[in-house]
Amino acid sequence: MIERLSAYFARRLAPRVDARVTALTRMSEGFSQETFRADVAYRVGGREETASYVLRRQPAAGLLEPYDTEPEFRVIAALAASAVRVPRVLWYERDPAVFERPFYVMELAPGTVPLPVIVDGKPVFDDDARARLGEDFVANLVALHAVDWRAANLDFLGVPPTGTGAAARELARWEGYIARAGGPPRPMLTEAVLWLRRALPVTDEITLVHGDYRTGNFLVDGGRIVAILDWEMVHLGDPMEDLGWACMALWRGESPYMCHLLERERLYARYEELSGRRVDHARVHFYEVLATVKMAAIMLTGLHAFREGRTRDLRMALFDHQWAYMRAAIAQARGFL
Amino acid sequence: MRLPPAVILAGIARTLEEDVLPAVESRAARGLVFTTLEMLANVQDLVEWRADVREEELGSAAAALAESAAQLDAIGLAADAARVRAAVGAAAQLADREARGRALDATLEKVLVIADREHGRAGIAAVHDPVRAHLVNQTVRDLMRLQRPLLNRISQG
Repeated sequence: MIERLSAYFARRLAPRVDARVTALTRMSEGFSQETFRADVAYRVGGREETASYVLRRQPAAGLLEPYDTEPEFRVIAALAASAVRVPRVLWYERDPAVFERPFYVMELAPGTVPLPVIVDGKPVFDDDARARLGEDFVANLVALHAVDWRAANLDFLGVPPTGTGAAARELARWEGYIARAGGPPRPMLTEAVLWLRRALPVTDEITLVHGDYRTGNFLVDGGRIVAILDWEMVHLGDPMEDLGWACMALWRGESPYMCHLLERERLYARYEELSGRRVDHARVHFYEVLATVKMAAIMLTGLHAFREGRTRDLRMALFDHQWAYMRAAIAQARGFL
Repeated sequence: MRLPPAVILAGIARTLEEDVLPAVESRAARGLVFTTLEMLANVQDLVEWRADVREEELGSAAAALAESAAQLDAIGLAADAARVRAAVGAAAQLADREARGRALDATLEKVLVIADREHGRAGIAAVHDPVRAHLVNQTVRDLMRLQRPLLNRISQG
């Protein structure tokens, strides 16, 4: 494996010579795609240099199967020219002979990824950090929703019809995941799906939607958000969808702050101020309920892959008992808890 | 939902053997991993979910469905009420506890679909409410049994 990757980097890094992977480490963050750090040494003008890269590889099976990492690579590459902070992506490789499955390469950026988990009862961020990161969180979301996706040639993502088209398409997408996962009846989930089918909101504005915009999916360095990560659910749709996802109870636990960053009112107000777009509370509520259904669908897909033996990743089995959290999140979004 | 304990234990064993063991260098620690694998292999087929916990859940579901059926009768949906009662009766005949649970969950879904179909009909909320209350109460009972999640440790290693 290392030899094949060394040969790959040697090709990619030419005219630098003698490129070789000196270390390949699987990173533990992320439950979906496989992420590796590759340390590469090479020579330039007789001088030895090193660089580190991040490789994002399609898993054989898992939470969002079937996988295709190429759309997210194309989106991240296109966003390099926008105001959205994104990692610098370099190359996409389809040939499974290189690293078993398709992958793409990014520059390794400095920083850490804060996780949306309260440890020992302490908040994830202190007040200063929360204020700075909250501002960056909204600013990047507004920048993302302002991207001219037609000019950026991102309509390959599939343009939903206006009206109820965006909401209907997303609901159908996640109902499809639930149906493919099979398994026993899940009445709490069914109740939410029945409600969503009756409550499809209308939007005439289609924007780029990250699809997983939350704490845990951005890189922080020097106290600021330096890159928005995890673009595997990016699509075109209703901008309120990202707000609904960010407001899902799972991302804040007992915290009063959405994604541990901002009160709901503050999030809405800053979004309106920076975007000039009115936050439609009813639409956000629809997408908050849909967020729980989507998260449930993701969990069930992972469980299904584990049950069928297509993944040996034990973290997929963890969702079996975490299903109670999911039901609580659905009940909370529906106003039952 | 619930994966069978044997499936979970087999997954733990496979993870230890294929993913953890290759990264363990200490001979003593490797010996303990092999000890764990042997123990898992021996208990794998002897473990099942606690019967009293599952019976409490099944009893709560059956009671909610009986109440919903009574409310269906009260608003003139006698055929639906009969179907719900028949499904609960059929579930009760199932010897396998997990099969009984699946049958009752399917019937809970059936009530939700009826309530959705009859959305706006006077009194339909009283049909929906017992099912909703059962689902919420069951969720709370399950949450109280859960251990503190280790997501941060899992992600950061």
